[in-house]
Amino acid sequence: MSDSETEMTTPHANVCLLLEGTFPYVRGGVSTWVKQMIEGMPHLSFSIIYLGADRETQGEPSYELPANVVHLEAHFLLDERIEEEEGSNWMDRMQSSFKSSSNKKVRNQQFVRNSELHSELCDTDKPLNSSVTHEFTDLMAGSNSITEKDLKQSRGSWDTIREKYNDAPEGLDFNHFFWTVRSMHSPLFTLADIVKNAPPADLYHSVSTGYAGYLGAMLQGATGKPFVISEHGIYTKERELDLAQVDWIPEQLDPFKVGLNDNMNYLRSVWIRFFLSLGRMSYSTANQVFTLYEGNRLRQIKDGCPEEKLRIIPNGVNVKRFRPVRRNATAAVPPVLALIGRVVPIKDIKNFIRAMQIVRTQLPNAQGWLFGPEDEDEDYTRECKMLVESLGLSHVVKFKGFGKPEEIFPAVGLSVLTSVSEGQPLVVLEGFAAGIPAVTTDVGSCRELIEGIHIEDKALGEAGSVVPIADPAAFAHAAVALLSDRESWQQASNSAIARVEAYYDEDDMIDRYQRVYERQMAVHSDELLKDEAA
Amino acid sequence: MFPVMQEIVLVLLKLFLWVGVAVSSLVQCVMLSSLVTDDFWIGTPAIWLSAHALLSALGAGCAARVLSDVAREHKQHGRFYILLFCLAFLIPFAGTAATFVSFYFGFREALVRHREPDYWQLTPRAELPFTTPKGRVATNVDSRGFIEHLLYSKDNDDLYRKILAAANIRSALSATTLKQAMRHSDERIRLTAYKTLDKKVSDLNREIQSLEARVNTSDSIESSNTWLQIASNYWELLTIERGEPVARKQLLKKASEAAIQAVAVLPINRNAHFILGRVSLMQGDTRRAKVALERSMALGMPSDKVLPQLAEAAFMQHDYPRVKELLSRLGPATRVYPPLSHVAEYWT
Repeated sequence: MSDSETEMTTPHANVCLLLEGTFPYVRGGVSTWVKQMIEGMPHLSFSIIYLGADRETQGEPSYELPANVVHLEAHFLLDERIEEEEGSNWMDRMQSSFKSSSNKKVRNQQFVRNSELHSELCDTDKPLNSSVTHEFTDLMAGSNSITEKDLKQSRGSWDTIREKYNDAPEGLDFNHFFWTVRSMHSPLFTLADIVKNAPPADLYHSVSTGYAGYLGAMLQGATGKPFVISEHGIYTKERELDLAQVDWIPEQLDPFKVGLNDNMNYLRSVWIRFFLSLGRMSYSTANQVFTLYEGNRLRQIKDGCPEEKLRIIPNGVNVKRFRPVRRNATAAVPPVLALIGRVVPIKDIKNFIRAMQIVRTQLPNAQGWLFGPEDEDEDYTRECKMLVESLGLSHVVKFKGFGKPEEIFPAVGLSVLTSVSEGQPLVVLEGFAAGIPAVTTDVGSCRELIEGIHIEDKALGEAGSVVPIADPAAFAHAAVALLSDRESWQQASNSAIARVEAYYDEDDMIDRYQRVYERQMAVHSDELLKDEAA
Repeated sequence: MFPVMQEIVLVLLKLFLWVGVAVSSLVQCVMLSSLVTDDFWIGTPAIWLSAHALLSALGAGCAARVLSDVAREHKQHGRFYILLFCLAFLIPFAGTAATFVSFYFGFREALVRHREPDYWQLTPRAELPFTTPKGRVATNVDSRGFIEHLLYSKDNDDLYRKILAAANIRSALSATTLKQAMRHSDERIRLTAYKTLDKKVSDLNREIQSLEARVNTSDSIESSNTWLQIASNYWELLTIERGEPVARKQLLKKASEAAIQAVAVLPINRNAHFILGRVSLMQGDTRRAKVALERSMALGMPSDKVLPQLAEAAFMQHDYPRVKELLSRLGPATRVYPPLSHVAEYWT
């Protein structure tokens, strides 16, 4: 299943990164962070296991691999897996049939145990014991593991699915339930294959929960090596939001029952529970979990992460890189608002366009520039461009594609974000490093970045403004207030620089992660020595 | 003794020929099954084709021999053999072609079957809207009271489920509440509301694009109703973009253009006149609204649906006696509907 370009030998690495839908194939904040981490620790070697959706839609890598990446393998969770060939002649088939009938009893027992483990997993009131995850790993990737063929064809699997169907609400189509269970579990067998041929490493580091997190949990169980998680966005929350909108989950609408008191579609809730379970298993086995800010930390605890494992390590940017582009105190501030980000609904680009219409009424020379890929959601990009045209803003709002931050910031007056969801946006921090204040919506850690977290941080002043989401008037008002008052702008710029220098320097972030790696590896070595001595 | 033996040999020979026909048919069946299953065990298409040709020849040969009474002459026998061979060889291909043809015509028929000439359906609800385009789910619950829930309820899980359910309610009824929910303190509620609304806009835009791609059909009824559906979708988009004056103006213009097209293609389409009247009313063009609504009523649109709109047009023209006259003509059943009842009571 691994990529054809995968190297034939898998060299040992200090750290194996488990990446789902990010570096090196997909551009974005998390990918930039991964690149920063790898390049920031040139003395360590890294290997990468990339998990994508399917090979056909996967483009070429968007980033060049740093020199200290010794191995990359790509796996695609939605691709059909190649079944092991049974013997072509009748003797082989007879033998295999005889073998499978003798294994039937063992297999049925495994499915019974699997069912018991599922019950423990679904009990969200109790903290999940890591032994449950390890038992699952054993069932999936152990010596006599359940195979995808067993899931599809064995009696035990059929009985388990039927048993679980009894929990479903009355009237749910069994056909839909059956195929949901099958398609839900299929990618886990790809993960099991990866574990069986895992690239050797001293430590496994996943940048999300979900499939990558669960892969880390399985690898930890199989190899005994330490496993850490760094979560930028909350995977479970993002999947829950996506699953609420997707059309591929069959919906049985009864026009006489539709109303605001309806419960969620059962199959949607099954999918959400599945991802929640992957998250709980990842958290239960991880040696440490890192998050970006307090809001995310609270959500992770709610999702089942043990509090004692959680630490906050904020993002950092290369401050040195942006020092030369800072504006001096007497230079004019161009009335240009720059939004750096993908043109996708979650960034609420339409809100930015509407706000620009209001900004123009007060600052006739104002411009709005959009920097970022436009191909991720082409329908949405088209809608945004239509909105620009219909509002008569074609000469004001410009889609500029990719741009280097150090070339963008000298030409703009404000860095803006209109997102409805964010983690800890690197573009805001990069803007701060260049001395550009920000106007952002009140999402993720944006308020912490602009106003500060604790007393010392708050004393540095406000580095811009925070406005409610989906409120173009408030957004425009905040932007105009900063751009039309040179003194306020300068104060915000000074605060931005002071804050990023004090708390969000890339060197600090890398230093902290380096210490985490060293400590985890040392603890693991100590444990090994103790085991040997014992 | 000798003739008896000869008879037995002949019978055996005939039996052998029948076996040949049977074997050929059975093996062909098994080969055909390999085409429709995942497992193409026969190897390559070339092997399949060669085997098929050989088995057809065997079957045709045996059948021609068995039925030799039909064609006694040597020349006739050869033609009969060729005919049987062609039949046996071409049956799978004819079957495939027939399947494609039936799928193609079935698909076309299915498309036409769903485009029914009567465009509107009456909804069973007491509150507005009374009508909805055919084919769209007419939900019987609206979102009234939800804004109060959002403001005062502390049960976020319940609110979240309500937001999810709002996705199944048409935009005209849910847009305001979803916009309100986008300001909620709970991120899950806020984002779900945002995404739901965004999906509604995208779906409507996508539907408009697809309708515009197939609007120029030869059938004027279909074409007129497609223009109507386009106008209706623009109208529904308008309910989402209500707070944006520029977008509102643009969308009304597009809805109006689509409704005019619907009337131009089929001037006797009463629904097209009706929707043109309503859009014109929203644009403030009372003169055109009055003409279109009266034409729609003249073409058979139920007067209880048209009269309130005409009364609104008269009100906007400050023709108050006519407002009174029009509302007094409303039937008693329409008059008791809550949103209209107090207006009718006031004027009559």
